[in-house]
Formats: sequence, structure tokens, C-alpha cells
Amino acid sequence: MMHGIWPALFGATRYEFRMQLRRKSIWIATFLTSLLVFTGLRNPWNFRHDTTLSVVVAQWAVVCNAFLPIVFGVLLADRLPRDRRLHLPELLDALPAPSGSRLAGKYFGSALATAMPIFFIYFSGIIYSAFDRHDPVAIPLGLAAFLAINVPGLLFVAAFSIVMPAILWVPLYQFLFVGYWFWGNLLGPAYGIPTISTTWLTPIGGFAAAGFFSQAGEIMTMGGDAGSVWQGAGSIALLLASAALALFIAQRYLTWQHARQ
Amino acid sequence: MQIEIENLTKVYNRNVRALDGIDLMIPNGMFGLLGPNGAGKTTLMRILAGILRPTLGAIRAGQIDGTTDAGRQAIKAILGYLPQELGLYPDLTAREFLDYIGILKGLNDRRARARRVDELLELVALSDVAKRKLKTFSGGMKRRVGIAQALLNDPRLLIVDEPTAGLDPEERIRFRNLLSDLGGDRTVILSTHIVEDIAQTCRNLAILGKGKLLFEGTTADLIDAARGKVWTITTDGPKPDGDLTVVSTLHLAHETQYRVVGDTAFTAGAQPTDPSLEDSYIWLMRATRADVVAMTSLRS
Repeated sequence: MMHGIWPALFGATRYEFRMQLRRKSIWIATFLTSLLVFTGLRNPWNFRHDTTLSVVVAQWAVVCNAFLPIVFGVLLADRLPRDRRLHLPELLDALPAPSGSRLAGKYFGSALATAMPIFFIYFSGIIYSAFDRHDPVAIPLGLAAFLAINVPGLLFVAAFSIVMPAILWVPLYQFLFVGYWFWGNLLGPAYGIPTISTTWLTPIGGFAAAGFFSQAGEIMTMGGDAGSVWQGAGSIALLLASAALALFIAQRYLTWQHARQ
Repeated sequence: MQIEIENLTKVYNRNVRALDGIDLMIPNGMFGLLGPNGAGKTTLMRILAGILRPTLGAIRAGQIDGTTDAGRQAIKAILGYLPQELGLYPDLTAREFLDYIGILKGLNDRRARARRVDELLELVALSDVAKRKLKTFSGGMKRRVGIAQALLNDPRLLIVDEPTAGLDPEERIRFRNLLSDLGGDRTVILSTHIVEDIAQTCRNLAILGKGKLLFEGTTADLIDAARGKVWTITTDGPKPDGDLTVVSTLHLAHETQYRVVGDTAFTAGAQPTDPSLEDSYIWLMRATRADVVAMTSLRS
């Protein structure tokens, strides 16, 4: 028997994915929230045909990323406390698998499952574009846009939604998260309130969209100077590094907390 | 595998002393751990399972030093643990849950793991419901899933905490027999407050009370220690009172028969009787409360 990091990580990812995917609420809540997305003005069916495909795809990715991560973050917040509620830590802590593998597996598995309905909603718009424009390039372009624009933001949100409930009451975290989302992503500087919505640390993905998929100004952002490929790459790197840091700190904190018992 | 415990002490936050200088030697085979609620049994189990760290003291499991991080990890690799409050994932089926725990126990060969899961589902008579979600299982079925997960890695050390709680009489007997079979070639520590479970399965036992070791020895030693302290009183009068504990009350046709534990026969007509393990346990707890005997002197 080998008690390695990777088998435990893959096993935990597989089963956390399976358990989260079986929750009806992730499908219902995400599809209900998608009504906000579908009724917006920057959907694939609202663009004129002279708009370039990459702009349509990237703008659709940003629109999906403006609202759907709210429900994504809220639905992930119970994953860690749920184990405690079900009295699982005593059983799991007596197993030889490293606790870090279990935490990372919970993160990847439940984030991937919760992102599935978001991906379906997003991809329905991409398929519409492919048919509407008779251009199959929409499919690979759509996948690339999802990876560059949506995935880093979702991984960022998932990290904090998984780990913060280790120190915060879940409903309080969910309330603060929704407030943060509107303040940190959707509130432009024009409102006169200090905000991080125009910085690289904006999971909505405006920097990646503008940097990789369009000329400056073609993508709806919150008024920042989004535009270059480097800024897009910088934003992705910062979001992923923040997520990794949050998980690392959480793992150290949980280990410390466990040792104090 | 022999477990040696030396001066084991656990002090929780706010200075709650859950274990106080426990010295104990647990031999291979079935070993019972008895004690009232709050005695420190679960704390001792959790320390042995590597879940908690002791404040003081040493543990040695075979050649493994259980006080170091590496030692705790090594013990986990040969351990099967059934906690008192067994948590399960309600949205997984029995087979999926066992497969997941198997992965976390380091059973990395998928086919071998699947075979082991099937064997254990058969052993605990859950093969027919292997594809049902755990949220549909009764309490007894969940306990059986619990014992199956504990056995996945064919552990050399098996720790079961209150395993028969919530089981019906037939299931309890089946479970006790299973534990006895398992105790043939490994160390099985059975923690319970159901004396009958220990009486039917263990030759050696320890009794804890308020974090201290009150008794360590064989079940026969404990029964011998209570000899001459157990009486039956058959009367149509009032219930016997005084410095005694009524263990059982049996209503006969015109009289009532009481089985009591006490140092002397208080009533004329009290007949001395052979103590059972339960009587002996009651006598020990009484004696401890009265601070009559130095309990550890009972060691054989």
C-alpha cells in the first residue's frame, strides 16, 4: 500500500466531483441565475454580424462571468463545514492520506462540478454563435475563451469559498461574498466609491478578455486600462497565485488547528 | 501487535484533564475498554488512532513510536478505526463510499480495491444494497458500512468505539462474533459501556474512570475481585435499601427478586451469588466512588 499525495488527490477530486454534481441545487440555482445573463444586452444574439467572432465570444464569457460565479461561490461555501456537520473528520483524520490531498481534492472536484452548469450555459451561447455565423471556429475559440477568462476567476472564487468557511460562519461568508462580488467586480470607479474592480485582481476576467481576444475598448470592462496581452496574463497569474496562496494558508491553518486539539 | 502506553496524559483547553497518567499494556487479540461516559475512553481511542496528540506520555505499537508524527502516520497505515460517531457521505452509494475510503487508505490498485470492497460488502451482508445511497440506510446498516471501511486495509490494529450502539440483538451478536474472529490474528480494541459485549468477546480488559485507569487485567480477575459482593434477595417486602446497588429486579409470582452489589449482606435471607462481569464492573465503580480500594492493586 502506498499513501501518496497524488492517488489521494485524484481520488478525493473524483468523489468530491461526483457528490457535488449530484446536488440538484447547483443546477437549479445556476440556471435560475442564468436568466440574468440571457436577458442582458451583450449576448451572442445581440451583436451585429460585423462584430468579430473573438469579441462576441470573449464578451459572452465576460457576461457569464459577471453573474454566474456568484451562485458558484455561494454553492461551494458549505463543502468544508459539511464534512464537520456529517462527523466525517474523525474518520478521515484516522486515514493515512495526507490532509492536504483531501483539501485539494475537495477544491478541484467540487469546483469542477459546480462549474459544469456554468459551462453548459456558456457553451450554449457559443454553439448559437457557431450556427449563427456559420463559423465552426467559434467552438475552439469559445473553449479557449472559457479557459482564459472564466476558469481563472472561478478557481479564484472556489479557493476562497472552500477555505473561508473554515473561519467564518457559512451564511456570513455567503453574504460577504455576494457584497464583495458586486463591489469588487461590477462597481466601476465612476460611482466614486473606492473599488478593486479595475485591477488585475478582478475575477470577472475583463483583463484576459481584452488582452487576448480583442482590441482595447471592444470589451466591456469597468473602465480600467485593460488591453495588453501582458496585462491579461498578469491578471490570470495573480488570480491563480491568490487561489494557491489561500489554499496553502488554509492547509497550514487546519493542520495547526488540528494539532492544537 | 502489542500496544504499550506509558504515563499517557491528555489535557484539553481550559485545563480539562481527559486522561491522567495512563499506563497500559494491550496484548494481541481482543481487548475491552470499559468505563462510564466521560471516562476518557474516546480520548484514548483517538490518541491511539493518531487523531489527537497526547499532552504527555508515550505510545508504542509493536516497533512503532506513536508519539512522533512519522510514527502516527505509520500507525494510521496499519489501522482500522470505527469511530463512535460514524460520519458517512449520504450521497454516495455503499460501494462508492468504500472505494473512496480505500483510495484514502492507499489501496491504489483499482481492481484489487474493487475486489476487497466486494468481499467486505459480502462480509457485512450489504452486497444486495451496494448500489443504494447511504442516506437510505438504517442505523444498523450504517454501522456495518463502518466496520467494512475499517477492515479495508486488512488492519493489524483495529479500534472500534461503541460499535454495537444502535444495532438490534441479532446484529449485535453477529457483530461480536465478527470481532472475535478478527481478534484471532490482530489486536482489536473494543471500547464500549455495554459490559455484555466485553464479557462475550474479550479475555483482557481495562476500566477507565474520570481519566484514570481503575482496572487492568483479565475478565476472570475482575470477576474474582467481586466475589462475595453480589447477593440475591427475594422478598415480598420493600425494595432493599442501604449501601448497595440494585443490579436487577425480577418480579416473581408473589415476591420480587433483587440482585444487589454491596460489601455485606444487609438483609436476612440474602444469598451470595456468583458475580457476572456486569456485577463486577458495578462493584468496581461503587468501590471507586467510595474510594475504598486502591484499584490498581487489583492487577493480577
